[in-house]
Amino acid sequence: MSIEFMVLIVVLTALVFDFTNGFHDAANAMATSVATGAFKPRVAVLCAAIMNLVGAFLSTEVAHTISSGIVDDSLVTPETVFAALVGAILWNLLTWLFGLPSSSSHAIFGALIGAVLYQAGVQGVHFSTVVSKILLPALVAPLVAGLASYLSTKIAYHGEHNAPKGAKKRYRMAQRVSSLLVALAHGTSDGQKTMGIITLVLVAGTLQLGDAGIATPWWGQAPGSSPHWWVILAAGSAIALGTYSGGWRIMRTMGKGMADIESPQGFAAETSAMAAILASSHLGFGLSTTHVVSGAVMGTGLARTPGEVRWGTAGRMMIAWLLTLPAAGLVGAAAAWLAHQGAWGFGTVIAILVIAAAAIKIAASRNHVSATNVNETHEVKVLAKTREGAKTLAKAVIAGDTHPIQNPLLPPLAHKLEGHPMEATPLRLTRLKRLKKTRIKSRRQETRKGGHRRKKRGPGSHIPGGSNA
Amino acid sequence: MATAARSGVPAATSRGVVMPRAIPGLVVAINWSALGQVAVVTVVVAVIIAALMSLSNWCLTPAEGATVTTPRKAVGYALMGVMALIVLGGLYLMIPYFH
Repeated sequence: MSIEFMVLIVVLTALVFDFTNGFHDAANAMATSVATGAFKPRVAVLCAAIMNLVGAFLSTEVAHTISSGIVDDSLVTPETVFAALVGAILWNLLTWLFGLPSSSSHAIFGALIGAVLYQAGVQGVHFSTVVSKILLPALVAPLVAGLASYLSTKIAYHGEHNAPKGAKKRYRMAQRVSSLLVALAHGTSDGQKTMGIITLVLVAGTLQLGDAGIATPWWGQAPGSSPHWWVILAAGSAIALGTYSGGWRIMRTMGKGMADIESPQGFAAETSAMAAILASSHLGFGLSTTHVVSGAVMGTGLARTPGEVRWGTAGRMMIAWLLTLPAAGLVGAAAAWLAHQGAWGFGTVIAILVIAAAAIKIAASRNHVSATNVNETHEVKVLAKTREGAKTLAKAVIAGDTHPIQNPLLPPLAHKLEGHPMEATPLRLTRLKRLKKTRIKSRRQETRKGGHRRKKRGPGSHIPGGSNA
Repeated sequence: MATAARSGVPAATSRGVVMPRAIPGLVVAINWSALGQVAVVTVVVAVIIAALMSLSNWCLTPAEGATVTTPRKAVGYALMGVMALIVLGGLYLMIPYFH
């Protein structure tokens, strides 16, 4: 496989990771604002996307190492970077499916550790740096932000349960400002991350071509040079597009899943998160935005309604945090093994990534969360209707029940046919769907002609031979 | 909790069995000072901003059946101005172009 082709694949994968980073972290800035009504959902993600894009352009001083010293950078090849990106993308998608906020930075670090462990063993990983730069900040971030948010909330509510009179409107306004600042901070830091990855891959590719005696290509980059303008544009656009797509599942968990919050609480949480992010980045102790905001939301929930914090959701989220490094590491190691096999290995990794992404998307569509229903409930269900249908089916099979039951594979249509004789089989459901479409079409035609609508009939009355067989 | 660096040279026990002291190269150096500063600054800044906002809201909210007096309004808006300055300070810290 040519060096140019490999560089292209890695750059595209990096942009896909940036996109997933965008929708994964959209909730960090906007979840509380959407939950309290400070912003309408679509407006929130649009503003966050713009701030992310602006932030990406403001900060182009890319890191000279991908790993921040976690691994031996001399071992980081384009294949390693590719494997790390694949691991991080899959982990981001999986946690998105379950609506669990998790750190994209930790995902890529974990996948990178896995890839380097495969390549060079334990000698390639600086475990002391893993402890000081990943594990300890992951523990500290939610505690610090949670404490700040707890105290801020107590002050905002004057120790009462209900917000002071006239407060909500002003706090909503203030919340908009704090959310935009968090989105801007996210753009400056995370946009830079992908730019750094792409730049380093371009540098590595240029050096490899140089070693092979090939002249520097148009995308070539010398070590230590600033990123190309198109790298900045591409990385900034990818993260902005990802942010605009919403990440509604995570938005629901962050905004409503842990606690029901009001605008003073949202303001307290976002302000504490902002303070933690700025303090940590300037005092040399990087904290994950996701961990900080999640901790802040829990802190504010504890301050006002301690008995109503949903510890089940918080527990699942912390388990996801604990699993981020090992899970992404495993996938990174597997992807590194395949990528080092050659062109077919690369192709296999890409195929697995595409198939897994499609499967996750299909699973997510069974219990769709969007801008219109993000605040309806606090739960993010995964295949809930399919699971319930499968349980019912299993019980019926065991009991030898011959009555028609809901087809677990077609929940969107099945729930409309409860009790109907034809609810059982996929074939009949397909026929019914077609007949329904024909009815709707003919009704529309009649309405256009004379403005009269046919009287609604009961289900199945027009279906030829409609009986359960 | 910063552990001292170990040389990685195995130490002999009384039975003559050589045991490795530690994983070679495992030196966990944690900057507790920076961590402490981050925690303190975060809590202090968040509390200050919350207090300013709460006070500003109290100044601008009239009591039952009364209106907000002009001095009270002025104080309320002045506090909002202070918060706006803090926002600008945050932007200054965030945008690398300024430093």
